[in-house]
Formats: sequence, C-alpha cells, structure tokens
Amino acid sequence: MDKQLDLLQGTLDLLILKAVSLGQRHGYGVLLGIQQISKDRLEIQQGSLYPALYRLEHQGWIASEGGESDASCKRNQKSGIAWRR
Amino acid sequence: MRFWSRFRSWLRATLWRSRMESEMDAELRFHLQAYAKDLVHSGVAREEAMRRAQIEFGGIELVKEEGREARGVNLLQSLVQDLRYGASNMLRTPGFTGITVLTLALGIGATTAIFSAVNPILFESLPYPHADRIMMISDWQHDGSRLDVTFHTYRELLERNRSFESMAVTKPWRPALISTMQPERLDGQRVSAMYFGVLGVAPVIGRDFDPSEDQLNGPRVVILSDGLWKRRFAGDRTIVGRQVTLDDDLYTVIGVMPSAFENVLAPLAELWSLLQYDTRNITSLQTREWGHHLRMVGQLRLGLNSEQARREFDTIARHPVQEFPRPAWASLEQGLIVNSLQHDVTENVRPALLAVLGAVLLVLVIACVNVTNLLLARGVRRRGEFALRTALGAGRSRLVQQLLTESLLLAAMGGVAGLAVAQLGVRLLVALSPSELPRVGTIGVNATVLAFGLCVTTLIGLGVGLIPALRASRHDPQMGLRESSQRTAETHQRARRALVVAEVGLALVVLVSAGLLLRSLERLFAISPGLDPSRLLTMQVQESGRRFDDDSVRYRFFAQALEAVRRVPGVKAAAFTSQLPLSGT
Repeated sequence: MDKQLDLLQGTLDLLILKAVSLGQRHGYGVLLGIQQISKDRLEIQQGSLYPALYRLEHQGWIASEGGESDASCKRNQKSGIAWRR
Repeated sequence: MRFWSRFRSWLRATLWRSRMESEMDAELRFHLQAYAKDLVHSGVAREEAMRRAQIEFGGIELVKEEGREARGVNLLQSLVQDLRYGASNMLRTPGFTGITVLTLALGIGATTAIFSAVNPILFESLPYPHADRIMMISDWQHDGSRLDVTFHTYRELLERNRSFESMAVTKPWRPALISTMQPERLDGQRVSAMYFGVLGVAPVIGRDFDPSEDQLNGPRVVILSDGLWKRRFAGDRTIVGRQVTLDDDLYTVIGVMPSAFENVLAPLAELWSLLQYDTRNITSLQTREWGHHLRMVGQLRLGLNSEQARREFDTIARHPVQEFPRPAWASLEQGLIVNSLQHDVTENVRPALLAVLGAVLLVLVIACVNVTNLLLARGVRRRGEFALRTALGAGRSRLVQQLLTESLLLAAMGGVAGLAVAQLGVRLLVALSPSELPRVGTIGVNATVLAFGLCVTTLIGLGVGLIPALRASRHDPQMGLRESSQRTAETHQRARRALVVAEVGLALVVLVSAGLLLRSLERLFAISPGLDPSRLLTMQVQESGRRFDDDSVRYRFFAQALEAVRRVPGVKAAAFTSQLPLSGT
C-alpha cells in the first residue's frame, strides 16, 4: 500500500540527494529513483519535486548539465560539497 | 561557501532569464511526456495518460513560479512590483501621502541641517593634515586661566624642546591697504616663519615664508588669502613680486593661499606677514619681546601625545639655562598648558551644540512616531487587501517586504523634500549664527551631510514601517476577510494609544526645554547694563602711517579728531576709550 505522507522539506531534499548519488538522472528519473529507494512506499507529489531540485541547485548541493536530444537536464551531484558541512 | 553558490545561481538566473525559463519549460514538458509514456506502457490510453499526467503533476505555472522563487529570481521582480504598487497606492491617497511626506521632510530636514552645522565642529577634524597633532601652547596666569606667551619664551621652547616638529607664534595685525581705491583696513596676522608649516598648508601660488626673512629689519614680505587676492587684486596671476602699500610701507607679495584654506586661529585674517622680532637683547626687559601677547601653536612629532609634551615643558620650565634668562612675569614656574587645537577651537560651543543636536533628534523621533501611527491606522483599513493576498499564497515575509518597500518609498520622498528644508535651514543657521561659531564657512550641504541624510532616511523608512508591517501581516486571512473581529481592533487601539502617548511626552520634553531656554534668555536681556545705550554710537579709529610714529603727532591727531566730532551738530558728548564696556575680551 502506498503511503502518502506530508514530507518535511528536509526529507525530500535528502531523498533527492540519495537518488542523484546513484548516478546522473533527469528530473523524472529522480522521481523514479526516490520511488525505488523507498521501495514504492512513498509517493512524492510531482509538483513539489522540481522546486526542491531547483532549490538544491541554487544552494549548490547538486549541479545540472544541459540535456541530450530528448531535451532533458541531467543532474549530478557536486562531489565534495555535500560533505563540507 | 553556500552564499557564494547562491549568489552565482541568482546571477545566472537573472542574467540569462529567458534561457532559464525555456530550459525549465522544456524540462517540465519532458517530465510530463515521460510520465505519460510510462502510463501508456502500463496500459492507459494515450489521451487519458496525458490528462492524468497533467493532473497528477499539478499546475505547471505554479511549479514554475515555485521554481523561480527557489532560485531567488523573484526578489528583484517582486521589489519592482512592490514599488509600482506602492507608488500607485500613494497617488490614490494624496492626503495621507502629503501629510506623511511633510512630517518626515520636516524631521529629516531639520536633523540634516543641524548635523551640517555640528559636523565640522564636533565630528570632523580640522582641515589640516595631521590635525590631531597640532597643539596650542599657553602660559599660566595667576588665577589659573590661560595667558599668551612672550616671544622669548617661544624662542626658548623652540630651542630646547624635543617633542615638536615645528612651532610658531602669531599675533593680530590690522594694516591699512593704501591704493588708488578707498584705503581699507584689513584683518591679518603677523606670524613666525613656520606658521603655515605647523598647520601643514602651503601657498598655492608663490612660496611660503623663509626663516631667514624672520629677523629684525628683514624684508617686508606678505602672503595674501585667496579672498583678498580675488577681491582687491582681481585674481591677477602675476601678483607674485608685486608691491603693495600697507601702513605707509612697501610690501612684496610672495604668495597666495589656496581658496580652501581655513585659518581656525583667525578666521577673518586675509593677509600674513612676518613678526620680525628682535631675537637678541634678551636681557632688556621693557621690550615687546617680553610682552604676553603671542599665541603659540606647534605640531607634535609622530608618536607623541600632548601629555608627554607638557611634561617635557615642565622639565624645561623648572630648569632655566643661562642663555635664556627669564623675568618674574615670564618665569614659567607653573609650567605650560598644551591642548589640542581642535579641542580649543570647539570647547566653548560644544555643550550648546550637543544640546541642539539632542533637541533636533527628539523632533525627528516625534515625527517618526507620528508617521508610524498613521501607517498603523492605514494598515487597519487595508486588512481586507492583505487577507486576500495571503489567501492567494503570499507568505508573511512577502507582505512585510511589500509594506517595508512602501514605507521606504515614503521615507525617500520625505528625504528628498527634507533636502529642500535642510538647504533652507542651513542658510538660516549661517545667517543667524554668532561670529564666534568656529568654522562657519564650512557649514553647508556637502557630501558628508547628504550621506548622513541618506542614512537617516533609510533608517526611518525601515523603522517606521516595521511595526505596521509586522502587525498587518500577522492576521489570519479568514478574520480579515470577514471584516469583523473586535479583538484585533482592541490591540490596534492600544498600540496606537501608546504611540500617541509617546509622541505627546516627547513633544512636551522639547517644549519645556525650549521654554526654559527662552526664559533664561529673557532674564539675560533684562539685566541692566548700568548705562543707557539708547543714543550711543561707537566707532573704531586707528591711525596708520609713518608720520604717526611720533607720539606727539599721534596725540595731536586724536585730540583734533575728538574736537571735530564734538562739533558735529547733534552730538552732545564724545570721548575715547581703549575698551568698550561689555565688549568681552
């Protein structure tokens, strides 16, 4: 059964970071990755994914690269910064 | 580190706005298509898949808006938005805007004007390089007050001290300028050769005095001020080397001081010549070289302070040497006083100026409290508007930002109007100020004053708007929309009442202080001077020229002048005096 929770912002950020750490992904891929990590027990509001991605990018936790022919942006993690707390 | 990456991201988003927008748009659409494709794979019909994808995704525009906000691009946008909205709001309520701007203008203008007068005296240092090292040196009188030094004292200190780079003495000099035009009595100074060296200023045309010229019967040289040069000599660039007649003697002009030069020791002095006192004959005591009439200044060596200099002077004073014998009236037995020139020039007026500054700051606070009250009242009326905005999704900080922008806009308008008030105020101040007010020439609206005005305006804009903004944005949108709620009305009333009380209290303080001062002034003017000045005329008479060197000639001139004045019709009595009653120093 898929649980729907009101996730705290920080939780979503962590999930995104985890998903991205497994390899470069575009936005939809991150969503799938999160579902994979949570073993389908969490369903993320799709509308809240992209603002979180942009916020993380703005703050410097992740970086994005221009996409390929399918006009997507792949996202990868900036190594090193995540650990500089 | 994170701040830096945020800033870079913001910069990128602002500069390449359209590209970011199209990228975001493409990305979101790709997401939708990918999701729809997945749905099709799992068996849903194509159109149905697209529709479901869009519904589950949520509004694209909303996501885009949140994305923009996450990037911080919104700040500039929202500020511009707020400014436009605030401006249109103000135009819609001209009465409110007018009163607020006027109140702020008066407060800011008065404060800025007073600051421009107080700044050169209290805060700025004297307009000389190393102004903090320029000291004023005086002798002691028996009653403990200060006394001018004698020339030989100056020479002894100059010779024996190790604390000062340079020293100089000065006395007033009022020669008569004789030329084809009306002779004019000028204010000037006789100085020792290092006078301008101590101050750290040099003539902009020509040269400074040379110590070799400062001897008895030395060459007659004179340096002019910029004002005199322009006024009497038409700014003639070939003035150096020209000869002028001062008091029957020919002087050669050797230099002109820069126009920015401020002579704090004698603000009205327009020309300078050398003392040329006799450095020998120290043992003859009835000479002017042993009279206490010279003011002495010096520039301390780097790294020393006035206390050390004073102690060195004490040592010198206690150990007289053979080459500098001293008479009883210049024994220096009490040592010497060493004070910073800045302190000396300003100490008399300092308490009065601080009081005036305090008063005008109180007036400014009163104006601010007034405007805060007005803004609070207006905030109550706009409750419905804020409730609507909150319901539409504006966060509290957004509302606060909007209100602060509006109050800053009000303050800015008040500041600009206040500038006009300040200009007027400055002119008034200069016209009304006593001649003893130091550095009157520098009172004006200059860059420092403008910067001060800007700071004050900004602080006021933020301070005045903060409480109303926090208050207005606090509401539960439902309450605001319902247009009722007694409770919030109560708290509003209380806050406004408190502000009114504060305002009245402050205004009372200012009023009472002003009243007391006026009373003191009234009492002062009511003191009887002991004479009836109602039909008295005074004038200054001075003789000039070689022929008056003979005492008997001079006496005869003054006696004849007095007789002539007595014979003028309408004159009942006439007399000479060396000092007018109640004339001060």
